Amino acid sequence: MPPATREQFLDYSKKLTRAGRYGIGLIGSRQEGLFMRFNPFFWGAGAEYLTSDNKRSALDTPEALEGFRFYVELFTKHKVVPPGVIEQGAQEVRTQIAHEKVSMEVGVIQAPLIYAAINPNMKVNEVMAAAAIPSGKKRVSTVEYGMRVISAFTKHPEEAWKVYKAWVSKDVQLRNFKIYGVMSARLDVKSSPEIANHKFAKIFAAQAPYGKIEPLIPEWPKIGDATITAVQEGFSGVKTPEQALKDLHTATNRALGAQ
Amino acid sequence: MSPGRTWHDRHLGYLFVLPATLMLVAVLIFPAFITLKLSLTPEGGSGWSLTLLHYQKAFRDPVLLQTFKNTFSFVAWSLVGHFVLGLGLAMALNQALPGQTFFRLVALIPWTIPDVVAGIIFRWFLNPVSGAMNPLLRTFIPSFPADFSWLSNPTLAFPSLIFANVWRGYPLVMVMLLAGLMAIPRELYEAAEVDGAGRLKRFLHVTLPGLSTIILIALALDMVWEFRRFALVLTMTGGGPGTLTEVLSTLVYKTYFQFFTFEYASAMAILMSVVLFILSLPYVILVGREQ
Repeated sequence: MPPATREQFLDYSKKLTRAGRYGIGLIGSRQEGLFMRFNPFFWGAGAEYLTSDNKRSALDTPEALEGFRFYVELFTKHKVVPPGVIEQGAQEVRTQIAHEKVSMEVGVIQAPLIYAAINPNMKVNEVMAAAAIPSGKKRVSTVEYGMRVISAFTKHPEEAWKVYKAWVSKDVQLRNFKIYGVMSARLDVKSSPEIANHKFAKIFAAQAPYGKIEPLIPEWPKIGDATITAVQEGFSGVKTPEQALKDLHTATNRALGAQ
Repeated sequence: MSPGRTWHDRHLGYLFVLPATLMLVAVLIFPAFITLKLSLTPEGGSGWSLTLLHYQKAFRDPVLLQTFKNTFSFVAWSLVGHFVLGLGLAMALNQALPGQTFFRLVALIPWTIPDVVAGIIFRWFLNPVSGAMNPLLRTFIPSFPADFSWLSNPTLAFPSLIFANVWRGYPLVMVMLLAGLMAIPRELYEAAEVDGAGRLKRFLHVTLPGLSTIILIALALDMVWEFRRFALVLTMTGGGPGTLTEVLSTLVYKTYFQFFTFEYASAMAILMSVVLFILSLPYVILVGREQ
């Protein structure tokens, strides 16, 4: 059975760390993909990046420290993550999975296709399974989303709207899933037989109610960058998790102009 | 006015330089002016409402100040590495040895590799799990850890970056110094040898003085290029761990293209240009003197 709680997840990771293989692959490099792996553990501890009005940092809570520390200590204390975590991006971690250097990762729905492309001998559908992110205090999962926008300056708004409507139609979204393995935001696609009978997709679809996204504010890129800095400082031991998070709290308030 | 010279004769030269001048204005002067104006514009502002707020912020920004220190350190160590390796190889390649042309070509190879490719190569090479560096070292030092981290190590990430940069950039300095060495008259060495000067004295009193101008030019040009180094740092470390290897070019890039703080990024770019101009003054004065 897959790990259901954080404690089980840590226990599994330790048991799977042996004979040159590690329990979990994590991202520590400076890329957006870090948040998909970090956020569930962070939010799952009951933490938030910002106050409810998005005007101040909420990173000075015990929950924030718990979530931050859990992610960082997977590498620094429990040693269930391969060395060089700061250099690992999404593709490096998938390569580690494909070559059986790590046993688990926090991945996207199209990851099995990528593993198979990296290592065609792996028999992904036979040896791999998907499971929900283990819960902490809150059950939460990260949503990675893409947006399409129609320019306010377009000379063809009706045509642009038709293209957009066609793109988000059920048929096109299902075809998108079949070709690229990308999950649609449409509920009728999520509940379709194609998804319900798919070994990996049905797990992802079941997480939809628990999906959460990062604060949609103009200052997020700065806050996100400062977060990656803090995670790297925690991973490398330059700062303790407490100090790294404290500096992140300061940097976040500075970005928001809330010092 | 010389007799017989028409208006056409006097002004034809300007027409010849006009295309190059227009191109210079379009790709250099106009963007520089726009950047300067943007750096003086309030965030989200427009028109001619100007402010020095971004420069005030820059002088108080701890991240920018740390990045300046990182950049100076990066440039200084890269210059030392380029000079030592470049001079050593230039002197070796100046010897009349079999395969001289072949070795000169091989020595140029790192310079032909784009920054991005060099960054990726070294990132793979130094990877603690799948890289070649650790197994190579274990061949000579069996007790060396198999999973030693280079780019994730807060102490070694910066030296690793400099190591890669020295490897990538020494050929430029080497080529310039080699040209300088070839221009030193052989008779000077022969005269020194006749006077009883050994290798070290010939190097100190013939080679170095003969190369002094070339060394200054090579280091000045190298300094300007290394100050702007971007792709190698971005691909190898992304400025990490944390901000330990962040340099000015990556910070300006991040501020402009990721944070979308165009005005502050422009202020940083202007400050970077001013510092670079001040540092390159010796080169400008030297060239002006020679002309």
